[in-house]
This record gives sequence, C-alpha cells and structure tokens, in this order.
Amino acid sequence: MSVSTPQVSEAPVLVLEDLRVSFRTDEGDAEAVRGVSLSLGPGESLAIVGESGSGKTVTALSLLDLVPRPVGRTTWEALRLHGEPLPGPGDRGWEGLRGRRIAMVFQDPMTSLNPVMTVGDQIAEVLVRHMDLSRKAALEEARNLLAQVRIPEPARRLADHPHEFSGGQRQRIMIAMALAGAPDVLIADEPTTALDVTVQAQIVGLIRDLQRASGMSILWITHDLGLVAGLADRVAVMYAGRVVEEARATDLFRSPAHPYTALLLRSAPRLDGALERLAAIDGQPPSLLSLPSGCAFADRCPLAEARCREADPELREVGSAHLAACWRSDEVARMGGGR
Amino acid sequence: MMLGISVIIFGIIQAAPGGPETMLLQSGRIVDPEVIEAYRVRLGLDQPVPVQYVRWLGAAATGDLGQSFARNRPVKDVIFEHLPASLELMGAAFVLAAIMALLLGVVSAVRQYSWIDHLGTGFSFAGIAMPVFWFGLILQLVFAVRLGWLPVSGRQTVGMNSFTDHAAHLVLPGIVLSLRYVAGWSRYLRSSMLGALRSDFVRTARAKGLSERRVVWVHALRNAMIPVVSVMALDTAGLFSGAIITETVFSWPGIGRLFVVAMTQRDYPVLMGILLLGSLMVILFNLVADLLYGWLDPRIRYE
Ligand SMILES: Nc1ncnc2c1ncn2[C@@H]1O[C@H](COP(=O)(O)OP(=O)(O)OP(=O)(O)O)[C@@H](O)[C@H]1O
Ligand SMILES: [Mg+2]
Repeated sequence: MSVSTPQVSEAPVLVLEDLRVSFRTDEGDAEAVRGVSLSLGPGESLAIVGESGSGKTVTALSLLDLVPRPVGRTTWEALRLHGEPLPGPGDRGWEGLRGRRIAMVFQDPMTSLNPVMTVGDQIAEVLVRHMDLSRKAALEEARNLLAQVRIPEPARRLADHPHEFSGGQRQRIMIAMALAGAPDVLIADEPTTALDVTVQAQIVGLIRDLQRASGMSILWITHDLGLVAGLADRVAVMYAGRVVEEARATDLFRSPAHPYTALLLRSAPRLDGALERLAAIDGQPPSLLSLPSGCAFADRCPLAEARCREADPELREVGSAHLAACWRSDEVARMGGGR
Repeated sequence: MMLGISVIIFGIIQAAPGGPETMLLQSGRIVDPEVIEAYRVRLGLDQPVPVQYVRWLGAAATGDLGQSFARNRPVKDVIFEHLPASLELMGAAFVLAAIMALLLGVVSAVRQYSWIDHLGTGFSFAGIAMPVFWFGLILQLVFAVRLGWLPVSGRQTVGMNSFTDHAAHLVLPGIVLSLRYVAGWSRYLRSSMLGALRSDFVRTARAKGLSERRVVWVHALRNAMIPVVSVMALDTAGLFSGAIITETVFSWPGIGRLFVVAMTQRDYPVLMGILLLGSLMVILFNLVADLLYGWLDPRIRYE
C-alpha cells in the first residue's frame, strides 16, 4: 500500500491547538487530555494511537464538542476548520456542524444505533437536518448511501431495525450515516475493534475507498499499530493525555523517537500476525488524578534518568516533520530489540 | 386464570361473617325466622357453598351476574349504570397522570439535580406517602370550600348539564386519583431516561447534529418509554381500586362508590360482580402491556 506524503504545503483542513480536558471525579480532577495539538491536511489520514485511557476518544469527542458537561471541562487555544474558527466549547452553533462538516463513527456498532428506529429513518434524519431534503427524498438518498456502503438489497432494508443486521453491517450503516452530511472530516474511533478480523479488513477497505472518492480527511483512532501501517499518512502517539510523538507513518515505523513508541512497535503484532491489543509494556500508565511533575512515562521507561522525573519534556522537532517529547530521543534508536 | 380468580373471589365473600339476612334483621322490620328462611331460599343461600359457586359461575359465564340483594335488579344493570362515571374519572386521571409524568420525568432527567428535579423527588415521595382520602379532603377544603373555585363533590350540579359544569366536577377527583401515578411513573421514567441519555446511540444522535430537543424527545424518550409503558398499562388496572377511595371522598357515582355501598349493604352479588370486572381489567391490561411492549420494542416479535 502506498503511503502518500502529507501535503504540508496545502492549508490544513482542521487545526486544533492545546486541547485540555479534565473530568471531575469523586477523587479529584482527572486530566484526561493535557495540551494536544493536531492538524489534518486535505484528504489526509492521521492516526491517533495509544493505550486504553490515553485520551484518544476524549480528543475526538472534543472536536465535536461532545465531551459531557459539567463532568468534563474542555478548553482549547484554537480550533479551526478550513481556517475559520469553530465555536468555543459549550457555545452555540455546534449542532449545524456535527454530522455536516465533521462526522464521527463510533467504536461499538451494536450500541451506537438507536434500537427502536429503522435504519432508513436514522440515516434520513441526517439528510433532513443538514441537506434540506424532504423525508421522502431523504429516504431515497438513504437508499443510495446504503448501496454505497455495500448493504445488499438497500431499498428493502431501509425499513429494518438495527438488530436485523450483523455487526459489520451495522458499522456500514454507521458509516452511511456519517457520509450522509458529506463531511470534510471523518473521525473513526476504533471502528473495527468490535468486529471479526475478516470484517475489520472489509470496513477499513470501505472507508479508504470512500475517502478516495470524496477526498475527505480522516482521523483514525486505534489501538492497532498493524492497521496504522496500512492506512495512515501520519501518526500521533498518545500517552496519558499527551501526544508524545508525531511523524509520517513511514518515519515512525522506521525510526521511532520516543521510547514508548519503540516499545509499542516491539509489542505490536506483525502485519501478518493476529490483531492483538497493545499490551506488552510493563507497568501501568500513571493515574490521571495525580500526574508526576516529570515525564509521565518515566516509571515505565528503560531510558529514564534523573532529569526525566524532574521536568516534563516538550514536544520538539527531532527530524523532518517528526516531533517527539523525550529528553533522550536520540538514544531511542539504540534501545535495541526493535523490529 | 379467570377461573382461579373466580374461586378466590367467591371464597372471600363466603368467608365474610353475616349475610344479607343480617341486614334485614338490623333494619328491625323482620324478626320472624321463617320469613328469613324463606328469603334465604329465594336467594338460593340455603344451598351448599359449592352448589352456590357452580350456579354463580355458570350464570356469570353467560353474562348473568345475578340479582342485587339490596336493589332487586340485575347486578349487570347496576354495574353498567355506574360504569360510565368510573371510566370517565379513570380516563381523566390516566390522561392527567400520563402527561404530568411524561413532562416531570423527562425534565427531571435532562436537568438532573436541578431544583425541578429535587421538586419532582419531593413531590413523588409526598404523592406516594400521602393518604388519598386526606389529600382529597385537603383539596376539597382549599379549592371548593375556601376558594369556591370548584364543586365539592358529585358528578354534576343538580339541574345543570353543561360540559363546563361536568368538567369542573371532574378536576379535583381527577387530580386526587392521578397523584400517586404521577409520582410513580415520573420517577420511573426519570431513571429510565437517565439511562437512555447516557447510552451510545444518544451520543450518536448528538454527533449527527440533531437538535437537543430531537435527541431528548425522540431518540432518548422512545427507548426510555418502553419499560414505563408496560408499567403504566399494568397500573391502569389498579386505577380501578384506587377509584374506590377517591369516589367515596368525592361522592362520585361510579363503581368504586357502588362497591363501598354494596359492602355496607352486604350485597354480595354486586360485590362479586365488581370484583370479577376488576379481575377482568387486570387480565386485559396485562395483555395490553404485553402488546404495547412488543409494539414499542422492535426487538421483540410475537410469532
Ligand atoms: N465521562 C467521563 N467521566 C469521567 N472520566 C472520563 C469520562 N470520559 C473519559 N474519561 C476518562 O478520560 C480518560 C481518557 O479516556 P478515553 O476514553 O479518551 O480513552 P481512550 O484512549 O479512548 O481509551 P480506549 O482505547 O479504551 O477507548 C480515561 O481515564 C477515562 O477514564
Ligand atoms: Mg476510546
């Protein structure tokens, strides 16, 4: 599979600067996202990778201002779509953007569709909401969308309810719903995690085909580095609410500059192997309630030294379009045991 | 099932002390034991209990519920005469309770822990804990006696037959009868809505850009209503017994008051007729609950 170079010269479609999200919990404030910045070029695929709880979903939800309030508190420095600032967190104006300019496909297709509404209605309501169609025209268009995501006999299946479809088909329906608003950006939050391996490949293939046809930008969220290699132009690795490394996919795989990435790559299953979850790094991520003043990865890091526990390294340029947040990024290559 | 219920109804009535003849004795007019015996024979009370039961059941199956002791008229006629008033009151109470519970339940869930949610919680505790007759008397005192806005009791003012007069009479008993259902249903809907609002498909609905109104009142509510509607259907049969106290307090000429009157008169055929009707309602609304459940939840289909 070819991996195109990111179009750095072109104006980015989506820019996010310094996103911070904290959740009020019984034990105190959990800092789920701590200063994440992202940018997404036209037609580009950016993957966010990281362990469970690293803040991937919260980052994605923030882009639609869907982090629940008042438990969650969201701030960002800037959020722009095609150069125009989007409304601030909690401001008016989000409803018209969600599903229209930025759409999202969720992890679990079993619970993400409304069980008591027909899939036709669930797709059509997006078109009625955003595309100014009558219900009748919207249902007609919903049929086309079902055909696009390769649901057999789409006309007949419009009247069916979600439970009458398989898991993979339900995810296709979610994708059809996301496409209905012809969004500029599609966020796919682990769209295949809940599915069988063979179905996973079909769904990934489908999204890539649709991207090629429409030119939309995609933010992939995944645990699965194997998947990332095949479909992402760029990769951002998240750890404890931060981006710790960001690079072109090829560069990241060839020369990781953060020890966490290097360990992830080592523990990731080979491309030919089974799709396992990333797990094999010793230790636990730190509690988001009381983060250390130094690097959050220091306790698990084979390269950790005194300064790592004293000061948290900033994300800095370590190569061409390659960022890493590590004091000893030069030495990561010599960590040994890479693949 | 109906058969079992009929045995129980019959048994309970038989177990009660005294018979219709006691009433005659108490009235002080008849003291001659022979007259009483003749009366018992005429009513069929001289027969052994099982014979009485079979006779009664056989007749009931054909729609004949026997003669009222006290009124000397067919039980069926007596009941049907009182039925419209009861259905009217129950209907009004049901509609009122459903609307109030819907609004209160949804708003309490959407604004969890707001003043309106706390108010709803307090109201529900009061609604369930407060004795019906006491609440009825308070309302009568305040709105009818003190303020004079509404009639104290009855179904219509003598000599008047306007719709407004009719409706005015319905207001207080309707509120009283609906109270505990508003309380119960709104709390149940609230918790059901809280669950629905946290569910993934509601997040999806929001991510599609739907208005908050549509997210709450269409996506969340349609799911949250499924368990609530079956409870409502089951409770509706219970309105029947709830009406007994309300109708008595407000002298509402319905089945509930008929039941109380028949009880003081030991008019057993009427009592049994009403109990049978009540049981029929319970069974009917159980069926309605099942059908509604299947209709609301497409995942359940009766083959
Ligand atoms: N509604 C919430 N209330 C409290 N804490 C939350 C809430 N949503 C997320 N969090 C916390 O924020 C942190 C990041 O969660 P997030 O869902 O973004 O992780 P993730 O990287 O998507 O993980 P996964 O791979 O398991 O989906 C977690 O510690 C989580 O417990
Ligand atoms: Mg997630």
